[in-house]
Amino acid sequence: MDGSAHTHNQHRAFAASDRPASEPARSLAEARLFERAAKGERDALVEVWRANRRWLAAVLAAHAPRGVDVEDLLQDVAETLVAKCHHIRDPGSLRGWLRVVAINAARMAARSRGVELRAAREHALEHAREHGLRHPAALRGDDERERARETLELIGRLPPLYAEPLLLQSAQGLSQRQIAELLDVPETTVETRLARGRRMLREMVRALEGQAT
Amino acid sequence: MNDPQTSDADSNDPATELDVLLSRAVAGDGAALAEVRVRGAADPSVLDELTLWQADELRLARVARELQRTADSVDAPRSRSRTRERWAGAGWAVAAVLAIAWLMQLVSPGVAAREASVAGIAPAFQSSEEAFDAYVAKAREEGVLSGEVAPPTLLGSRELGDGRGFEVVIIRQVIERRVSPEIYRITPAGESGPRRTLIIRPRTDLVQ
Repeated sequence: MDGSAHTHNQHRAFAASDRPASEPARSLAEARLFERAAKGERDALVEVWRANRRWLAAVLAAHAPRGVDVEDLLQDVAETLVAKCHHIRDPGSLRGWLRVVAINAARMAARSRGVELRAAREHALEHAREHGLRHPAALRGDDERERARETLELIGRLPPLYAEPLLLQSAQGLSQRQIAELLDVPETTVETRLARGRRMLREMVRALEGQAT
Repeated sequence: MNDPQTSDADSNDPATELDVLLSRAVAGDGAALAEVRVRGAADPSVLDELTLWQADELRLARVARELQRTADSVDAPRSRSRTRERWAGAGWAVAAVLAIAWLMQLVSPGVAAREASVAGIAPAFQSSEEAFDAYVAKAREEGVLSGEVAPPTLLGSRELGDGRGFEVVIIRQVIERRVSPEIYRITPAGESGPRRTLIIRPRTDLVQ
């Protein structure tokens, strides 16, 4: 895929990896920002977090078990960043480390008792939908959010192997190269996973629409 | 960094060439889109499929907005506050420590003052039940009391023998939430050595 198609939409957190070698000044600025964050400077930590939180939300959405709030997991990741940022020596390893933290947070959540409670709530919502009742978001007239939530539920049924690159590209505008770098796999692998992920999503939507008619 | 997911599935079950083409097209690859259109001229079902995949991209765009809203609502915490993890890992030790902390509060000088104040208002109550109910109501109001464990635990009972009935010994338990500036953990100093008390304070892991 032509990564440039997404250039306008690429997340700033990945600007460093996509930038030509002729832009060392910005890289230096980012390294300094990270250095300040690692020293515990509040404003630098906030900036590093804000630069990364959107793509981390995509990673969490791909890995979180059903019924777990991405927002809760993001809080966990943010706390870990603040608590352990000073352990990271190489700014280049920050994104990879944050991704591992996010995946671990999602896995921990799967083991917690809270998941059972939230899963029960999701089950109740599903039951409500089956019986023609609408989600509270829809009752507030927020159809856009309800539809997003429904799609997110479908994506949650995809194996994370496919859901993660799909969300990172489609939802966060990352190029194949950026995703490959983050997942540490070849670009061709990412391309295959994206195609398979989209195909699987299509089949699920088709099945869902078939049930509705 | 190694990807925690295996990539074996990719090689064993590759996507079809058309799926890869459609995937590129909906992601904004102009050349792939042109190729899909050429194929669509010969096979209109390809264009139908492209339309459906584009509709899915709109669904994903909604998800993007929702995720961004969620992400933007979460800011970095002011300081290290991984209370949940620390306490969850400690398990029974924390429960025991809280009990110890509570006992230490009971023997602290502040207790005398508390007892005095209770004594001061005692005449307003007609019975211990009434005083207990007042405590429950006040503690709930202050957010200290989460609830009462029901039913009470029965320790034993015996007939009084004078016709008045039975003596029933029960434990009534309430669930309280207290904020303590520090908690304590009792740990053995060695295999056979004496136990020692570790003080655990917020935002520092372990301080002797």
